[in-house]
Order: sequence, then C-alpha cells, then structure tokens
Amino acid sequence: MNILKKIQLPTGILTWITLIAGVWLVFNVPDDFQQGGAVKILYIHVPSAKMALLSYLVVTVASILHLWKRSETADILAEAATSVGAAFTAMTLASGSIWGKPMWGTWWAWDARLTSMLVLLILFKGLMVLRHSLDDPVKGARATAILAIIGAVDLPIIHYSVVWWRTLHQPPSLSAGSNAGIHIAGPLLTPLLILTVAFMLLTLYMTTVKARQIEARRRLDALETARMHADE
Amino acid sequence: MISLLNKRLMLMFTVIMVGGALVALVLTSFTGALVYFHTPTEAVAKTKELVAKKIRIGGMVQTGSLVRESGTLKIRFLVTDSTTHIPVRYEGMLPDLFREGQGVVVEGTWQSPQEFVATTILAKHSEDYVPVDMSEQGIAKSKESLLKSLK
Repeated sequence: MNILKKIQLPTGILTWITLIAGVWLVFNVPDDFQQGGAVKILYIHVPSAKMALLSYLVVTVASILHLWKRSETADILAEAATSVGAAFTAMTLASGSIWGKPMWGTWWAWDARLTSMLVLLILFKGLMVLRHSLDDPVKGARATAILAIIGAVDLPIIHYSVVWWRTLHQPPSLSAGSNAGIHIAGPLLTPLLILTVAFMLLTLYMTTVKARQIEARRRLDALETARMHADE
Repeated sequence: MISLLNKRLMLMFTVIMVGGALVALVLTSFTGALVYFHTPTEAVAKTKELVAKKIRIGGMVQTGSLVRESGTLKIRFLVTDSTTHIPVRYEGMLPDLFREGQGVVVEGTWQSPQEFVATTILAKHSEDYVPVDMSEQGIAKSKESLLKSLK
C-alpha cells in the first residue's frame, strides 16, 4: 500500500495536465455536421463509459484475487474501484440523457445499451450496500466479491449490446475486429483520445485516494476494536 | 475431507457457472424482447399480428419524401430500409436530428395496412462524427452505416 502513497501526487499532477489540455481542445473542436455544438458531450460521455467498464473489470479481477488468495489488498482495491466505477457510470447515464433529449428527442429509451448500463449502476450500488449489510466485515467482503464476479456478465452484454441487438444507441465509433473502422473524423478524434487518457489517469488517481482512505479507515476500526477489548 | 483450496475452487467454479448460465439465458431467451425496433421489411411482413399494437419501426427517412402541411405541425414521410418503404403520418415536435436521409425510429400503430400513424418520433444517430466542412462525406457515410445496421 506504500506504493499508493508514492504514486498519488504524480498521478494527480498528470491528471490535471491532460484534463486541462483535453478540455482546451474540446472547446476548439469544430461543430459536427449534424449535431452542431452538442457533439462536445461526446468527450465526457465516451471516456466516462469506458472508465465505468474498466472500473468494473478491476473490481472483478480484484474480487477473484480476494476469494482465491484471501488478499486484503485486493479487497481494498475492489471496494475503491466500486465507488469510482459507480461515479463514472452515473456520469455516463447523465451525460447521455442530456445529449439524448435534444438529439434523439428523449431522455431515456429502454434499449439494450441503456438498460444494461443502468444494470451496471445498480450492480455498483448493490456491491456498496452488500458489503456493509453483514455484521462480519470478512463475510461481507466475501459475499461482495461473489456478487461482483457474477455481475461481470453485464460487461460483455453492455459492450456488444449495440452489435447483438438493434438499439436506439449508435454502434461503436471506434472498433476493432470484423467491423473495424474509425467513424470519427480526425479533428473530432484527437481530443477524444487525449481525454480518454486523461480519464484513465483520473480513474487511477481517484482509485488511489479512495483505496488509501479505505485502508486508513480499516486500520482505525481495528485499533478501535483492540482498544474496546483492552478496556473489557 | 475437502481441503480449503478445493472449497475455494468449488466456490469459484460455481460462481463462474452461474454467471455463464445468466449470459446464456440472456442470449437465448430475451433476444426478441431486446430488439428496440422492427425494420420496415419486418413490420410489413408482420402487419397482421402487429395491427392495432403499439410498435416501433426504425429506418431512414426517404430522401424527397418529407411533406410538411403548412400552418400545422403535421408531417408525412416514408421510412425505408432501402427495400421496403412505409408511409408515416405524425403531428408534433421533432428532434433536432430528424431530417431526410437520416435515421429515425417511429413509435405508433398501423392505422390501415397502408399507413402508419406515429405518436413519437426519435432520431437515430449513426456512429459517424464529421466536422461541418466535411458535411457531404458525412452524409454519405452516415447513410451507409445506418443501412448496414438495418441488415
């Protein structure tokens, strides 16, 4: 956990630099031929969605490690990434709605992409609730890890929803594989790539701060318990 | 006696099996319900069973088919997947992205086998993002992407 303390400040500084550079580029981006200025919402929406999925992937891997190796560090990482992922998921849904109202004509549609993303938010919130719903924190952590691994089925569903089913949401603009192709023209693409990097750093930074806070809280709880036993 | 390691392996195995079963269930049973709209071709083929039911049809607004009744919010247009064209009637507000040659999802009912009356119109955006000064390429590309997604 010492490494977290070391990387926190450098990651924070790098995050600020890339975020400011990215946002400055977004303000200078040309208008889209159809959406006009509303295309700027893309630069929050897409990186947020990517980071939401990435955070859940981290939660899943950390949960597997926790169940397998009984690693406390993995559990702390899972708990931290859960909070961060929930924030990015909420940001994705909110920015998507704000774009959807003027562009599609609706805030919300129950298509496969939007619904599976809402399921992800419910999963994140469920993990947060489940952890503290059991009196024994060890059991709570284990139950949370199991739910997290089961919930991972939502990840491929979200990713492929726009390919497997016909949705109101557009298919991926950046994709590899059989349907490879870049559907975003150069001047609109560069800020997106820079902001994706910025959001990755932001995710790393937020997870670091959160993990340190969780670790400190657990140490305090342990001290508190020890003191109470000593008093008895 | 089951060792601790085996117990953990069993637990992981069970969790992965349950997860796999969930995916299989979603992929096999809900596929029909998860489709947000019918293509015009499907909608015409199923006119009989879909009549008087509220359905969504997705396609492209046929270029040159949009007629606005002056002085009202009433419009008529054809929604197409390049093989089948469906005449649609609608009265009300339109989303910013609604225009000829672009994607649309109309929600409503078959009034007669020849006419679909929409109560809601949603614009369907393609995955293409193109600056204003490249509009012509953008229009061509988004048409192509949209028709491909209706296949």
